Amino acid sequence: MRDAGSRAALQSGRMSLAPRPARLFVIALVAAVAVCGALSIEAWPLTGWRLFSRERHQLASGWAATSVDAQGRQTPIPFDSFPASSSRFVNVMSGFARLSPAEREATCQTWARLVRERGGDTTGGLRLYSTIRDLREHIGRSQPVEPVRTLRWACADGRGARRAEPAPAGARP
Amino acid sequence: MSATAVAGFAGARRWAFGPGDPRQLAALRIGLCAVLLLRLATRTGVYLDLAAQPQALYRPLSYMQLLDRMPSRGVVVACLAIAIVAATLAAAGLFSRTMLAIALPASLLLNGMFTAQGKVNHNDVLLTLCLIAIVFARHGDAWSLDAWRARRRGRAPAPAAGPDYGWPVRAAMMVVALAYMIAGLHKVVGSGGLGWATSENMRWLLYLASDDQSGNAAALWIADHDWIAHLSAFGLLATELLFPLVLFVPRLRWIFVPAAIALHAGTWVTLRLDYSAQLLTVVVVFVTWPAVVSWIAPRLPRRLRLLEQRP
Repeated sequence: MRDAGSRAALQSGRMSLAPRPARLFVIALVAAVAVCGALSIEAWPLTGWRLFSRERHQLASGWAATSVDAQGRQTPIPFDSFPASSSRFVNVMSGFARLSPAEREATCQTWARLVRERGGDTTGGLRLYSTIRDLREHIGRSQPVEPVRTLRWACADGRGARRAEPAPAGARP
Repeated sequence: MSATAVAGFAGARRWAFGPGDPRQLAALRIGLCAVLLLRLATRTGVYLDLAAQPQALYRPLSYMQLLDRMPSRGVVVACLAIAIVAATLAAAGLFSRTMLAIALPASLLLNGMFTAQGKVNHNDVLLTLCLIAIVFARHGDAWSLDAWRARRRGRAPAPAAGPDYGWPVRAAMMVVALAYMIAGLHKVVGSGGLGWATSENMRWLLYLASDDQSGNAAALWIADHDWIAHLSAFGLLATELLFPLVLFVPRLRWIFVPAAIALHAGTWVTLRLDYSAQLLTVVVVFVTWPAVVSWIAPRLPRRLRLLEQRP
């Protein structure tokens, strides 16, 4: 690991070290990276480095959302077509239950506005589903696995996000 | 403390804080600033889009919690302009220490915006941490317009090696190595052993990623071939866990740096996650650039041999 300069210094028996403030700075930086990593502390740019660390199983959970028109027809919300700053639906849903009612309502209204701006109809509000996909269905076929949805939240325009009653298990969309 | 431990500690201290080549530090300055510049200049539209994020979707982490919404478009435009100009000048080595000290905080605000969408953004973390590792160092003493101007004024050039030039490079190396090892350890802890690689984890992950992309042929091909999926998982885990070996056995860079490149390239192909900034940071930090220049320079036309001059 030694470069030519430090090798020469070592051979001649005179190895001067970095100044003390520099040494303290390096120790602090490396310690901060190690501690945040070990304890999964998220203090960006320091991070816990939890990259796909959770072991995946054949049942994969997720989220899906639909807009509901005046006739009650549901259309998947095209989050991919939203601006990048508003397309992280799954990230938002992971903390949705912890939001205050006002924050949930504001979030739903923002999504509804973005749907309407893209020609969608949100007269009947939005439906937010948790999903389960059995990935074993994927083996031997390339088509995406159809998720099983469970309604979790119903957002009615201007009337808040209402937690859904438990739906019958296994109800397909 | 045993004699072996004392000797080991002294050796580590000498390695971390011993003298270094100013050209290697300069190469980190040039390379890291170039990567930062690339990230900023190619994503200006994304930063401006983030500035327009509706307040209801603002989900900040870390220091972005000090703000109650994304910075305004005007602030983002100003930060982009400042960061791009400062990173360019820092890479060129004109007032390099001041310029890097300006570019870094501006980029912290800009890249912090990515973390305000409810999820940690890892893509630029290593680049940022390595820039922090060198920001206070004398990175402009070689391969810079500052050094060229100093020589023209008759000042003595920087020494061939010195204690001011080694620690920033090794700090960056330690940060990169630690990051990979910690990512690997979380996979081991999260699966209670080697389950992350021995189970069907990689196959499920790739099937899921393919579905989320409405189909990804490469991800499906690997997932459909059980042994390739397991080999990929073991290769990825080994690369991450064993990466710190490059600090102790420099020759292992020839294995682990290409392995890290393959890891991030594979992530892009199968998951469509862009870790190019991290990939380039690893290359910048672990390639011995003075040796590369010494090899290339004699093969260049005489007029292009500027970097060959020491320092």
